[in-house]
Amino acid sequence: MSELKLIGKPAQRYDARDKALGITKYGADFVMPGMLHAKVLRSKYPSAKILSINTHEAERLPGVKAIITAKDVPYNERASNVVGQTTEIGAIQAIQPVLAKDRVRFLGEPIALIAAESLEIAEKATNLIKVDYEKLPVVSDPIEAMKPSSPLVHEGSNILAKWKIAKGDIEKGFKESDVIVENTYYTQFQDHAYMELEGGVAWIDNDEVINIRLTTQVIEHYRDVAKVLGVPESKIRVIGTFIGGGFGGKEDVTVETFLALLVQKTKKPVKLIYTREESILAHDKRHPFVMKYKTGAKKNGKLVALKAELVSDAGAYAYLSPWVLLYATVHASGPYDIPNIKVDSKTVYTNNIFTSAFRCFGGTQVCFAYESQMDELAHKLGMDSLKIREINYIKRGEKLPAGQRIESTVALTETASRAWKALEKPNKSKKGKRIGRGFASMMQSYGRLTMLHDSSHAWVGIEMDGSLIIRTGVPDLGGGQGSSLVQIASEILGIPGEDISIHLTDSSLTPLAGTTTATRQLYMSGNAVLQASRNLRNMILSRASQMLNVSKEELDLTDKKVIVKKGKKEIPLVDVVKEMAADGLPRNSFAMFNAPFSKPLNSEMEQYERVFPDFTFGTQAAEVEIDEETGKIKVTQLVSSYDVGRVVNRNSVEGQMEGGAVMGIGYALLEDIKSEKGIIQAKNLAQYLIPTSLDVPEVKTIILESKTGLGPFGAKGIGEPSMTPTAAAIANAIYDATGIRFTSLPITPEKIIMALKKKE
Amino acid sequence: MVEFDYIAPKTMDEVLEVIGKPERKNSLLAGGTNLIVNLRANKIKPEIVVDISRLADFSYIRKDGEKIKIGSLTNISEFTTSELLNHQAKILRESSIQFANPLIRNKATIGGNLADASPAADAAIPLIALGAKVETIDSNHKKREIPIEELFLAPNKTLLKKDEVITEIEIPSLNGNNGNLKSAYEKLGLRNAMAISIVSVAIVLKLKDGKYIDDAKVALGSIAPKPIRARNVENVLKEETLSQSLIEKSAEVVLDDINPITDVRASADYRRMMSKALIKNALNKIMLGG
Repeated sequence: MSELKLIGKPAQRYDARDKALGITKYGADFVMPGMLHAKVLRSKYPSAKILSINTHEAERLPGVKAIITAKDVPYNERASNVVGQTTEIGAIQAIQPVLAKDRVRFLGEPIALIAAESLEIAEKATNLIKVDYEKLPVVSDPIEAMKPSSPLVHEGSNILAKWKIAKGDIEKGFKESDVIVENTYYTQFQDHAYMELEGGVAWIDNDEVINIRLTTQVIEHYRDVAKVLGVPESKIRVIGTFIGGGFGGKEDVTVETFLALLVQKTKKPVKLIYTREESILAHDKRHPFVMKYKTGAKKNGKLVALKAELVSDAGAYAYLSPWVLLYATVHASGPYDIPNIKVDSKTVYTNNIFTSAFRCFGGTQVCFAYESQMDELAHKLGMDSLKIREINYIKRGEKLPAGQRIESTVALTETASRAWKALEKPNKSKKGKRIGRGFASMMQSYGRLTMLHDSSHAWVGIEMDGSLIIRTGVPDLGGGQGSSLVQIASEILGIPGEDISIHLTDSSLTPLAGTTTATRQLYMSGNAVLQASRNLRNMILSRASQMLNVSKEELDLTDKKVIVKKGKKEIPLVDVVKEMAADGLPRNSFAMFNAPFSKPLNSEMEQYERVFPDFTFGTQAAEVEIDEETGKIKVTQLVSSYDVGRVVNRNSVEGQMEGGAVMGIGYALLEDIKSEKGIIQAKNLAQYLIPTSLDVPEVKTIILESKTGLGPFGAKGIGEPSMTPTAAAIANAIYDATGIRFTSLPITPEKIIMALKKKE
Repeated sequence: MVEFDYIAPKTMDEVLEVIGKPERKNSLLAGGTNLIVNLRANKIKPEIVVDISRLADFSYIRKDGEKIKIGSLTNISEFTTSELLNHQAKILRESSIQFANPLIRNKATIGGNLADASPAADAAIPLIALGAKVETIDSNHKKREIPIEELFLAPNKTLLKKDEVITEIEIPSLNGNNGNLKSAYEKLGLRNAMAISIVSVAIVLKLKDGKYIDDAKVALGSIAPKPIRARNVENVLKEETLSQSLIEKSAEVVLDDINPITDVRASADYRRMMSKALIKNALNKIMLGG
C-alpha cells in the first residue's frame, strides 16, 4: 500500500452542508398524499391489570380510520431467547407483547394504535378509548425485586439473567492484599435525549410490500416487523433516513411495527411521530446499576484481587438487558491485570421504564466504579494515581478475566500521561471555590459479540463517466458513517469525493451492513467498502495494464487517472472503464466482511478465547471548580485522549471525542429521569437537563494512532469509548477538590453541599 | 392540543373588545414561550387565543422624569442591551442576561413573564426589589396600577381579571442620581442556561454615606408558591450599617420569609440553605463594591 492521501485528514462531510442549511430530510420530514396520522395510547400506570378496553366511541369519531389493540395484532407476543441463564433459572424466553393485552408493566406501555385523517382527530380518538385498569403493586427497586416477597413483573422470577466470571482464588487474593477498598456505587437512568424524535411514514406498494421510512439505527428490524404481521420478510422494506442522534435509543424497534400494522389494516400511508414527552416514556433508558466493589492491592500498588457484584435494573421488559449485563461483566475489572477476580452480575425486572442500549452499553457504569476504586487505592496507598495505574494496566498479549487475549496495542500509559499533562496550570484558587483534578482510564469493546457472527456487505460500482456509486445498508447516525466510507473508496480508487454517491440504509435496495451500534460501522462496513474498492481497483488496473502494456504493480489510480508510478504515462480512468464495458468485464464489486467468530457463551464464562473482536483504550482528565456555598460544579477543563488505531476523518474523530465527553458531563452531573415508584419525574427537556454550551469547557482531544485495530487501515472504534470514562474522571476530580468520594450519579450541587455539611 | 380560534388584533381597542366577552375563554399570546408549552401540555384550554404580539406601541424602555417605563410587550433581549437600564436599574439588566437563553429572550416579553406568575418568574424578582408596579387596562378601558409584589396570588395565578391586560411596567425613581443605590442579583440553577431557578434573590439597597442602609427591598423566587418580598430580611437590614455580622443575621432570618417545597430540581432543605447562601452572596457583592 502506497502512502495514504486522504485517510487521516480532516475531510468535510458530504452531508454537512445540507444539514447546516436545514435541507436534509429526517424521519419527520416526509409526507404522502392521503396520508393518515397515528397516535399511540399508553398505559397510565406502571403496573396494572387491564380489565377492558373500549374503543367504540373512538371508532365512531368521524375521520378515524383504524384502531388496533392487542387482539388485532397477528402475532402480538414476541419471544426472545435470553442469554446469561443459569441452571437455577432455566432456559427462559422473554416475552414482550407489541401491545399490552391484559397487563401493563410500566408507565407508558403501548395499548392501542390509532390512525385518523388528521393528527387532531387521532389525538381526540386516543382520549376517547376507555381502559379499565385494576392497579397492581409496583416494584421499582431491583434489589427489592430480587426478594422472594417482591411482586413479580413476569411469571417465574424477577431475575432475568446472570453472568459470572471467576479467575484465580479470590479469598487468597484478599488475604494477600495489604490494602482493600470497598464501596457500593449507584448509577441512574439516563435518557438519550437525541434531537430527532422517533418517527416515520409507512405505505404499501402495488406488490404488497410495506415500506417503512423512519429514523432507525437498525434497518434489519424488518424481520421483526414481518413476524408480527405474519408476512414474509421480503414483504417488509425499511428505508432509513439520516438520523438526528441515536446513541442506542433507536437500536430497538421504535415506531416501525406500529406503522406497519396500521398500514396493513388501512392500506393507506400512515405517519407517526412521537412528541418529546412521549419519547421519554416510549424508549429505553441507560441501566441504573448497583455495583458492590471490593478491590485489594499490595503496598507497591499491584492489584491482587477484585470482587464485583453488579445488579442492573432491566425495567419491565427484557430488550437488551442480558447483553448489556454481559458487556458490563466482561468490562467490570477495567483495563487492568488482576490475578484473582470474581464478578457476579444480575439483571432484574422491575416496573420501571425498560432499559436497553445506550452508548457504552454497560461500560460507563462499571468504569465509574473501577476508576473510583483505583483513585481511592492510590489515596490509601499514598501513591501517584498515574503510577498505580501504570503498573496495573493490562498489556498487549495478556488475557482478560473472561479469557480473551488482547491482540492490539494498549496505549493506556501514553493516553493517561498525555491527558494528565495536557491539563493546563490550574487557575489560582479563588475564595470560596475548590479546584480539583482527576482522570480515568478505560477499555471498551468495538464490534459486536463475536458469538453473534457479525457481517457487513457493500457494493461499489463505477459509472461510464468515472464517477462511483457505493451501496451499503449502513444507517448514518450523524457520526459521519457514510462520509468515512466515501473517503475510504476515494482513497483506494483515486476518485474525488464529489464524484462519489453513497446509498445507505435501505433493507431492500442496499446490501445489508448490520446495525449502527456497538461502535461497529467503521470497523465492519469500512472493511466491506475497503474490500470492494480494492477488488474494483484490481479490475481497473488489470485492464489498464493491458492498455499501457505495463504490469499492474507499476500502476496507481489517482485523480481519475491511471498512472504509471515511475514514468510519465497515464490514461484517463474513463478510457479504461469504456474498454471494460466493451469487453463485457464487470465494473463493480460486492464484498462481505466477517468479524471473527467464536462459540456461544454460557453464563459461567471462565475461559473463552474470544468475546469481542477487539478493544479501544483511552483516558480522560478533568478539572472541576466547586462553589463551597452552593455546591455548583463547573468542569473547567476536560482532556480526552485515545488510541483510535487509525484516523479516517479527523473531523469525525474529534467530533465523537468531544460529543462523548459532553454526554459524559451530562451523565456525571445533570441527567436523571428520576423514576419514583415507576413514574418518571423528569417528563420533558425542561426537567430532564442535559448540558448546554455554557455548561461545558472546550474539550481538548489527543489522538494517538497505533494502527493495530481491526478496522480499515488499522482503525479502532471511538463512538462509544469517547464517553466511557468521563463520569469517573469528573468524580475523581471532585474527590480531589473536596476529599469526598461520591458513589452515586449524578453528582449534583445539592449532594455536594449536603456532603460538605456532613463532613464539617 | 385543543382547538381554538385565533385572532391577531392590530389595536388595543380590538384586544379589549375580544377579551371583554366573558362567554369565550381567552388566552393572550405575547411571546408564546409559556403559552405554547401550556397549550401542548393541555394545561390550558382557551377557546380563543388573542395574539397581542402585533400591537405596535407596547415595546419600549424609556425615561419618564426620574422613573423608567417599560412597555409590556418589550422582549427580554431588549433588557440585556438597554443602556438606560444599565445606568439606572442595573439589576434588571443583570438578571435578564441569565434569563433562559437568547432564543427565548428574543420572544419572551416582560408582560408575559409577569402574567404567567411562575413562582420562578425571572423578571419578577428584580422588579419587586425595585418596587416596580404594573399598569393595566380592562375591557371598560379602566386603568389601574398594581405593585408587582401584590400581583401574584399562587402558581400561575395573578390579580388580573379575565378582561385585563398589562400595558406598562413602571420603575419608581430610586436613586435620585446621587449614586447611593446598590443592588445585586443572584440566581442558582442546575445549569448555566435554560435553567429554572432553584432559588433567585434580588436586593436593592438605598445607602447613605456608603454603608448606612436607608431602605432595603429584598425579593426571592422559587422558594414559595409565588415570588415574594423578604420582609424579615429587610427589617434586619433597614437603618443599620452594612457589615459582615449584619449579612450573617440577614441570611439567618430569610428562613422566616420563605416556604420552599421539594420538587424535581431540589429539596426544600437545599432551597433553605441556598436562600441563605444567595442572600449572603448578594449582600457581599454589594459590600465589596457592587
